[in-house]
Amino acid sequence: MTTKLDPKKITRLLDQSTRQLDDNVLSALQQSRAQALQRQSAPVQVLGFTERFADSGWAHLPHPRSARQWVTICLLALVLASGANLWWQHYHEQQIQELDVSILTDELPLDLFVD
Amino acid sequence: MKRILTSGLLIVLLGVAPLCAAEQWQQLTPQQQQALAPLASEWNSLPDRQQKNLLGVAKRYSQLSPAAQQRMQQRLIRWSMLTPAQRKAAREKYRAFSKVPVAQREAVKKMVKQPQAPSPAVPISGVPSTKASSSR
Repeated sequence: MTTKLDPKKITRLLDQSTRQLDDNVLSALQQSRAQALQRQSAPVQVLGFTERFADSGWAHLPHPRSARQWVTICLLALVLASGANLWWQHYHEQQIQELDVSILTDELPLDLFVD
Repeated sequence: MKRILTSGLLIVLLGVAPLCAAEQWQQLTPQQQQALAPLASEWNSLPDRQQKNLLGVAKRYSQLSPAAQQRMQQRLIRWSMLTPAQRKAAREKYRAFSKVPVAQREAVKKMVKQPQAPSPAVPISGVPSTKASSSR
């Protein structure tokens, strides 16, 4: 049922259809392509971190380029921090509750542990 | 951007939410009410944190033996009347006591369980008490 698409064939088809495009549409497409390429090649320096990342041996790591990326990273860190905090709180409460049950049900009287 | 900020706010609120979880006595389940019955009259006035802790204790109530359940209910009022600092100190003492070797722990238990001998009318020393001598 499925026909295998040859990449060369696709390229040829695209070239053919591009030639059939209106001049205005073609130039608009070329312009936006050039703009996109330009935007990709020039790194946007946000908060002055980009250069520092490159200088400090962190260059191999993907680093944020826009304010939105920074906000996303901060939010992610916030989620992780609050998750860890919630987990720790829950764990601590569980420990205390278990201890309280032991104290309240132990054969030894409560006064032995209370000042 | 708005969506990101909204989700951030939501996360912060979710983190804070567990801190404000107070429940009235009437809102408790029958199981919780049964476990915490001795505290029925003062439940609504207990601090949120203590309520939350006691609800955790009540969760384990059904798994206890009848004797342990009875002991727990007998001690609940005294326990809830302690200050947070006293409870903390009691927990620390209990934790320390749990680390004592089993033999020693058993000895302490035996000592505590032993009924106290009635105080003799005449002290072992043979010297009558000052009260008795002054009443003459």
